[in-house]
Amino acid sequence: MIKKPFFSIGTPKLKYPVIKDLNPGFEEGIPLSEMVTVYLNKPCSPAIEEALKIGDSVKTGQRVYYDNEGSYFLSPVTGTISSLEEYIGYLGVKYTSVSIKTEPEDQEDEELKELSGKLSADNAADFLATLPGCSDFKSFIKRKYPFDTIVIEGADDDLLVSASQAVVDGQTEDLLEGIKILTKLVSVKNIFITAFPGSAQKLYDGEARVITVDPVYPELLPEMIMKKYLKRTVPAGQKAEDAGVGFIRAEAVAALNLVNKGEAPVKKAVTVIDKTGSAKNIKVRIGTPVKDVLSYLNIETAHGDRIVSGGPLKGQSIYSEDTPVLWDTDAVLVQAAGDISSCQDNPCINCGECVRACPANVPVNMLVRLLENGLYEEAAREYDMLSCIECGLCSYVCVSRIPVFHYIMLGKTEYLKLRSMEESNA
Amino acid sequence: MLNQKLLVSSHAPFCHNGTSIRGRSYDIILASVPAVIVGISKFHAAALAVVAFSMAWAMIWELIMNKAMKRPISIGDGNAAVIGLMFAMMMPATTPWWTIIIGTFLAVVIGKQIFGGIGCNPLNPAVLAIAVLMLSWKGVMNFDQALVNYEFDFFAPNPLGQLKSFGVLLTGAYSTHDLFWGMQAGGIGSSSGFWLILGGLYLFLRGHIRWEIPAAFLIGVFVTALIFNIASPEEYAGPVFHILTGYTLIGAFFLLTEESSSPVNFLPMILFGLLAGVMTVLMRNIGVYIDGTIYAILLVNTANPLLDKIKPKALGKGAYYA
Repeated sequence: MIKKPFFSIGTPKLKYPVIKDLNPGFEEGIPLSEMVTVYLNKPCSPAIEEALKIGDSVKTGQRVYYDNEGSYFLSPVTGTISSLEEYIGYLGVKYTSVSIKTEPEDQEDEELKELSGKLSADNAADFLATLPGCSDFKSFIKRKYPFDTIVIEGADDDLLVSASQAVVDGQTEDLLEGIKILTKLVSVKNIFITAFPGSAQKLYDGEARVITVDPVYPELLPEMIMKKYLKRTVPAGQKAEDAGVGFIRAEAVAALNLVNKGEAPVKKAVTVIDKTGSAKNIKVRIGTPVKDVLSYLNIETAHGDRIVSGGPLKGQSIYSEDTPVLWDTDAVLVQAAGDISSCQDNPCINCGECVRACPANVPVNMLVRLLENGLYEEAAREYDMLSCIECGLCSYVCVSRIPVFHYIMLGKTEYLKLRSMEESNA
Repeated sequence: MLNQKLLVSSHAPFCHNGTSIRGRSYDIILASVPAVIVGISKFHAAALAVVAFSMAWAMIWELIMNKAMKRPISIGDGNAAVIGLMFAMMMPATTPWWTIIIGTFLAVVIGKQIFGGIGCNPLNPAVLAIAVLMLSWKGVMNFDQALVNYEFDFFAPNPLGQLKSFGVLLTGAYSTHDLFWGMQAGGIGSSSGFWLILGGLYLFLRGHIRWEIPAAFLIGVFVTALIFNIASPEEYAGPVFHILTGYTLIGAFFLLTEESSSPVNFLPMILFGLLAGVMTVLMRNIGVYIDGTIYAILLVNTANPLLDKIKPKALGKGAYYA
């Protein structure tokens, strides 16, 4: 897909796609699917089955399942609930998958409409758990330790993906208004917005300070932005949010203005990348199955293809075309069976490509030896496993084609499991 | 069920830069072709026979070990062929057949497979084999003795042998031009001067080797030889002579850069190269062996794990958020 040039010295230079045309817009004509599916951030339980009956009708923008812990989502469509199932996602996180049979006519929820012009810190958490581009906006604004800095991502952090850029270019006014609303919802010292050189200019009028980033991967990963532009380090094993910096997609901020205008935030900007690698930005109703998106764009899939929810370096492959586009699905990537480069079981030859590619200075060559043998605690203690910022470059450059990134994620998960077990036993 | 469309699922990332062990091995073989061709034109068909026989036997030993240890067949990755080629490049063209079989056994079985195969060898396999042969069969590895029946149109004695036996005076008989263009006695592919540099340059541009190790090694050789030369010009040869003779150039570009036995971080690579360069000249100038490159390389190979402990601080290590 993205190959190394014949002559190349030093580390790979992977360029983000930069939208040249300043007003590329979105393809918006995709029809409403008959059935949409969304995931509630909770494992399926009797309590949920009690609260959400099959056959219950929901309206567009309505809060669905509002329990005492405040878990809920905003229904993206009008229709009736047709099934509830447990869904196990990445790293074994359990969700409840809620399928809704849609009705062609949208009926907008009155409660959400009443928020128009009246968004405040009090009501936002109660009505905006999910926004396009942010699957958990509620915990973004209601925090035990509030953020001191917020960075709005006006450019996507993965290769080939340009959905956020398209939002910045196509919905500039919504975005600038959204930033004003965001400053009302949360009180932070600094708000920044990242953008590529081409689109940075139109953001200068806004209330957020513009960070113009180089379009070279992995410049846009939160840890890299913090290191290079905010001059702050995320401690190993923690996320940017633990260090007091919140990262949020530009699309979610723009959606705040939609709510303020009385519209339900139900469409997600998605970059669809077909088998030839050409990308198209499209606005999709949240919950739409991937197969409907692909068939609308005339992208055919065959046995043995790979479909990825997200970009080529950080996405997650999906095993069914019924998997929906959700609040944080930035891209759908389709790869032909012949283009898939599979991993191999060669041992590490110690060539050092990964060490030079790693933006976090992790000694990957040593780390992978420990991870292959399941020595997760030693890997974390001696070989900086927890410093990994999950960019995937180590697997990308590996001459032996070891699934290094996979090993590291497995190692991190197992290590955290071990540690939480120890803590609960102590 | 048979007609069902199934998708391939895996963990990120979903693209690869296209490199592979096999491609890397073939590139190394390609990079050494010019030097080998120069060797064959110098030593005729006998040299070709040595190269072919040792590459074949290296692969046979690999296959035998794969079968014996019930491991997947790994000769397809080309690493055994590379080891055989490197071994042949350092041997004289008249090497007897049994030496090649023993040498490739030492390289592939003792040097690589018993440690666990590719990537697990602590020492460069081909260098290890040469070292054992040099200690065990002095006559076979003595270029003056091995190449005695050849008629060359240049000054034929092995330059480093002359230096060791007769001192610096005789080195005047060698012109730098001849040494640089490969007109000297020595191993099949290790005495080709310019063509080895060309191969090294190719490997560097393709991203297979790093500039740090060859550069540091050559600087190490140059500076140490220069110091000796300045201290006592009538006793020690000049730095250029040391760089263009013996195994120096093949060592710099093909042997020291072997992945498994060399470090990966910047400072360790520099130290690794410098140390090898200094040791090479020390052994040549004050040791008993004609060419110390082989032992210098083995020595720094053993220092590799220690050197690679010098690594940059990982992102966020030791940082705490209050």
